[in-house]
Amino acid sequence: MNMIEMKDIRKEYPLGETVVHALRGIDLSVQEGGFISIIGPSGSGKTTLLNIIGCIDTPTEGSVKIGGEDITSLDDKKLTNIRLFKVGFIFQTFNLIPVLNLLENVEFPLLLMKEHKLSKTDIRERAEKAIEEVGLKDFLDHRPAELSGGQRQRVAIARALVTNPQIVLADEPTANLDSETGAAILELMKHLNETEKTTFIFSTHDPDVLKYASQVVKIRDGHIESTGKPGRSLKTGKTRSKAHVGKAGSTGKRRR
Amino acid sequence: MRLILALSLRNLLRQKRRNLFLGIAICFGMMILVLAISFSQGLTDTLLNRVVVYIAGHMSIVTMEESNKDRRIIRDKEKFINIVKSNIKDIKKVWESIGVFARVIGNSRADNAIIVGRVADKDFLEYLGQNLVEGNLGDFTSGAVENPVILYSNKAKTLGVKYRDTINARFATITKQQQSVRLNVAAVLRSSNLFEEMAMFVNLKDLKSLVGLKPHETGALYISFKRINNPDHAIREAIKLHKLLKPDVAVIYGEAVNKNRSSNATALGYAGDKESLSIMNKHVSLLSGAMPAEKSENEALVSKNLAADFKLRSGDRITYRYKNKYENLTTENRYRVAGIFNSAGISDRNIILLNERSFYKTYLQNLPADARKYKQAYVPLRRSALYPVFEPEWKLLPRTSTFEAMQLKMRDMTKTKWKGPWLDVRTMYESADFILKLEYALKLVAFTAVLILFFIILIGVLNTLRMTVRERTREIGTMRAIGMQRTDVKYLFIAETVLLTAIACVAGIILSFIVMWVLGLFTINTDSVLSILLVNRRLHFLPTAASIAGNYILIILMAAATAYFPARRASNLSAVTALGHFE
Amino acid sequence: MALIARIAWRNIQRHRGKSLVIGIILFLGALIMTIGNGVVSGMERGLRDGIINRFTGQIVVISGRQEQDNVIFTPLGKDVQVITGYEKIKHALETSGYVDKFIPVGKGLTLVLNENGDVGYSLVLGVNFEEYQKMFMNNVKLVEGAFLNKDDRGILITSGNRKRFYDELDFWFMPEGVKLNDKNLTDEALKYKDRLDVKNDIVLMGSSMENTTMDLRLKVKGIVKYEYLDDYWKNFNIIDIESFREAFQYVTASDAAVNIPSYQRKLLETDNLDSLFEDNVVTKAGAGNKKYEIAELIGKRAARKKPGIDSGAYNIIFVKLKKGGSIEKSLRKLNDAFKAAGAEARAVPWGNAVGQLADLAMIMRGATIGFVMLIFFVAVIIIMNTLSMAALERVSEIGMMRAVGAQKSFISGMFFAETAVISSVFGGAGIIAGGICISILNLLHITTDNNILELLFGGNVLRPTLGFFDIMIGVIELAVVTVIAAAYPLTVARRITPLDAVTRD
Repeated sequence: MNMIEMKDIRKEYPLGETVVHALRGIDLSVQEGGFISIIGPSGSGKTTLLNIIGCIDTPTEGSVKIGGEDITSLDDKKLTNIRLFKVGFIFQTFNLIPVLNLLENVEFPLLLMKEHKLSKTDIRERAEKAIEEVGLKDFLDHRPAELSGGQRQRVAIARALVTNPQIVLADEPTANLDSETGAAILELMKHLNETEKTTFIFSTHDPDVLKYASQVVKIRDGHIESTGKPGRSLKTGKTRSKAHVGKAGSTGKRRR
Repeated sequence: MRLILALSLRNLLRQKRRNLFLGIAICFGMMILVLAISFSQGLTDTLLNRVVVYIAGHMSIVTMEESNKDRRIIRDKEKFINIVKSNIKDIKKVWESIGVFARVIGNSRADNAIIVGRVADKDFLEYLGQNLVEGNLGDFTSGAVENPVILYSNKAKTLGVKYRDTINARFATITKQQQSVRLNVAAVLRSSNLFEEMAMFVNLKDLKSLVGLKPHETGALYISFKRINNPDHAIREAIKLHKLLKPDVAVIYGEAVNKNRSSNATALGYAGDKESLSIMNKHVSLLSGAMPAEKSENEALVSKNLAADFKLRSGDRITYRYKNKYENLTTENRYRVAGIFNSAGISDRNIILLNERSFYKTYLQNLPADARKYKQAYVPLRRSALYPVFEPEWKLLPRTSTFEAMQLKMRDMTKTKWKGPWLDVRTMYESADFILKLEYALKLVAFTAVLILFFIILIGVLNTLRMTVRERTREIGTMRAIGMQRTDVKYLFIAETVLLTAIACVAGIILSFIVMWVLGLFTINTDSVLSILLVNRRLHFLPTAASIAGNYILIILMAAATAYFPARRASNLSAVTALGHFE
Repeated sequence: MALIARIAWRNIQRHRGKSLVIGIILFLGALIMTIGNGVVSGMERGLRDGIINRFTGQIVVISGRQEQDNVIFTPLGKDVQVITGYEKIKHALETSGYVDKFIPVGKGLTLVLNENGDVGYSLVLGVNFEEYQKMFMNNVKLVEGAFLNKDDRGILITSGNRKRFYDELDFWFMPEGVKLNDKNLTDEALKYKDRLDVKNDIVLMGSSMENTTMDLRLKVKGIVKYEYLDDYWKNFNIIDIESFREAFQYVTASDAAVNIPSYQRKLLETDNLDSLFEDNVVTKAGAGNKKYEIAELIGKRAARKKPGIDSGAYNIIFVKLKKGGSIEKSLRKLNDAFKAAGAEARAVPWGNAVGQLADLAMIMRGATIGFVMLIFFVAVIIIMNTLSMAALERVSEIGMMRAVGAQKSFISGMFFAETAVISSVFGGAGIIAGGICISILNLLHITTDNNILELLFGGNVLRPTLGFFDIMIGVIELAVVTVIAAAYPLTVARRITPLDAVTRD
């Protein structure tokens, strides 16, 4: 079954006096459990595409189905609920809520699920499990400011996964991390993709990252240029022979 | 909702400095508001519950004779006291009030004063004890000292008198005679406000006899309620009392005497106004003689039956005597028979009709025993045609709800020049409604001032929130992306502001209580107008839970309304732009 | 310097929102302050016009034995002690050099008697009317009848008192020979016009310190009104000083000695209380029917003095100083002069003499100033907050400036220049708007009948004024607010380092 089905997606938005055609007719289907990478140069429309998949943006034209449900004509409230229940986000800049500690940040989306009324212990258990999976069990009461970039991104991953979403979207998740930490994060994502069968879609322009992908979608100027397996349809630079799966917390401490 | 509150509280704590500044401003504004309102209420409390209630009672019954508002005499005080006590709820005390304006002379110094009659009851003695500067309260209560007087220290200083000195006083009696009397200073009191200093206290009994009031008579009846400061109750009871005090026809039952022969007879007064006279013309036929002139005194119309009994003719004289209600006395008057009348339905009765002047002259000064107890007495029935003609026991003034209306009512009453007693039921909330108006005005001024303060404060809040929204745009985008609803984002920002306001206002209220307490520590010695604002030479604040809570809620609502717009802007941010926002 | 100004100006434009908020607050503060100052100074000028120029002068001389300075509005019409040794005081005043004019008067409370026995009261001012008018800028205006001419005996009743008498005693006082004029009748009197009990004379009973009382029948010469603050002064009817002395028994054989200690002592010793009040003729109703031969009554104790010779019995002297004279200095000099001359008198400032009125004015002035202070306090806090937030918002910018070599003083200068520009533009606009509001208020000609407001207005018309001095005070207050409000944010901005700019998350 196709997790995502996009047909002839176009997105235009005004910029000053001109109109930017961010997406010019995208057709894309994504299978459940995929680990898809979207690549392309700056301004090619990667982020716009992800935003539309993540229901935080709507296409000017075309239709999007997520898990079989057409979302193109839904109102804000329903879209928000799709984000809450079906989609997880991982941002380039981590975007944790500064006033909440690690645990609370992960609990946050669960707390927003008013309709489901999860019990306190339930929430706590699920959050702790998610944190454990990203290897940050010892940092539960730390505030985001007290964590390194890699740790923050792990928290973001835990937050994205805690709701058991069908899709996790990651917009350049490693761009703000050093290469070692970035690799560790991707290893983690891949691992979760395999164990939890969650669909991952991430954008990147780092060729090193591509080897993790099950499928690579290349876009340029709002068009899909090519899709395929990594390493075949794409020229890759020198590949690193070894991926370092570091332990959580041992990653470098570089701030933006 | 709890999530939003927890988040907003943390956000408040995150931005400590700006919220502290705003908090201080809000706290300050609230403090000023509470102080101002408590002060206004304190002022009203001082004036109403510490001054006016002593001067006027919560409720009072006043009767004024000869349509003169200063001629206050209640002739049958027991009757009214009984009506009050058996019908009015929650009474603390009913007391007689007599006060006369007097010229007083001390040791070579003179001044004016109001001499007030008081009964040395527990309340009063307690008050005296608390404020005693010098003297001996025993002198006032024992009866061993003749005409003991208690006055305030300022007045004592003006008059140059001390304990055991004498004061000569002169004032008018109820019959407008000038009375001179020597008063002995029994005690000197500490005065706590300007109004009090004018009063001098003497024993009620002494004063009554000095102004010429008999024991069963009094000046006015004042009623205080157990429930202090409850205008609704006082006004409700006043309306009830007013309804109960509908007058009946004033009837004198006695006997007519002529040449050693006597026969029972009823004396009634008839009204002299045009309307009454035309009713008289219609229903009363004059057999001989003429109607007594309006201004004539001691002239009477005699019924055919009585005239026949005594073989009276116009111009003859007749003696009429009746038993008084009090003191076991008999009053005897002599009237010239101005005319002899007959009227359908009462042709078999012995009746003497007197004009207004002659009737009330005897009726008021020598109150007759209740005629309704005697079978032979003629008591006109309400349905009888002549009923409206006969003079009533008193006339009831309409209830009025403001001081102005009362003044107008008094003026109209004065103009009637009616000789009988006018009865008025008032409450201090009406006769002193200017005090309530003053409180209202003060509160309004204070509230307007604080509103301007809050306008400035809320501009600050608005701006701060605007900047906060800008700073936290990315955060808002994240929360929206994760799945927070638009409205929740809005509530989050409103909650932050409301929480800040709520906490700062509580701090403001606490601070205002501290300030009130500190201000209350100082004694202020002043003789100026300011002194009316003081209780025991201290500023008096009266914070009430209701007014504080009301204003608290109002300010929180104002803050919420202010926060609404920036909060809505925050919630309307599109997640895409919010996420893409970099400062 | 030019650079700082240029950057500051651009910043103001860039952060329009912030500038606008600070601007609005400063504008409001300056506006309210200006209007407040205008009203207060208008009130002061009004009171000066209404009280000093038209009622009391700057200084009031009272007897040395008088306990309280407050002699005009005394509770229950408390007696004011007679000034003894007027000649000495007069001499001291005349030779002082700084006194422009003065007028001695008698002030007291009289009872108003009435045929039916009801008693009213009236405050009276016994004066030489022509001099009084000259001294107080013709403050007394005629409503009906005529003024008191020289050597006239009679009373001028104020229309306020006439209304009160009518309400309380049911008489309508009119000067003789004057026809009822509907225009001058109160609504109530008009209603009962045909039943109006018109009287052309009034019987007053004054009470003197010496405890004797005296009835006096006076012709109503005119009905008058005070031009300024009539609501307060209307309580005073004016009678000629001779009648005043008779009513209050100030009449003396030898001019100086008003006190008769032996007589007093005798009075106090006497057992027959009624003899204390021997001249009392109102023992029964109908007093008004009696004819009074004043000379005859007075003659018993004191020879009637010849008209035109000042017997010197007064209880208050109003003194006006020459232009520019200091009240405090003059008071000191006058009191010294009285002491030197052995006169038992005391000079007090006018404010003391009109106690309550001055107190009320002071309370209102205090409240207005207090309110302006409150506004500024809140404004300072809000501006402080806004500015320090603005400083933090610009951390990277300021840090960068510091990184490229700007001194702390440059940062302070830039910051302060911004605030100063906003403050002078918006604050200045506030002061100008305040000035405009004041002129509009003047044009609107707002009048009041409320006597408290009348005090705040300094008359029955609201006439706020704004002088150069008031504006200067406004500018200084504004500057102080700006400096205080900018001080803290300035230190915040100065503390920003280049490192903060680059390491900020």
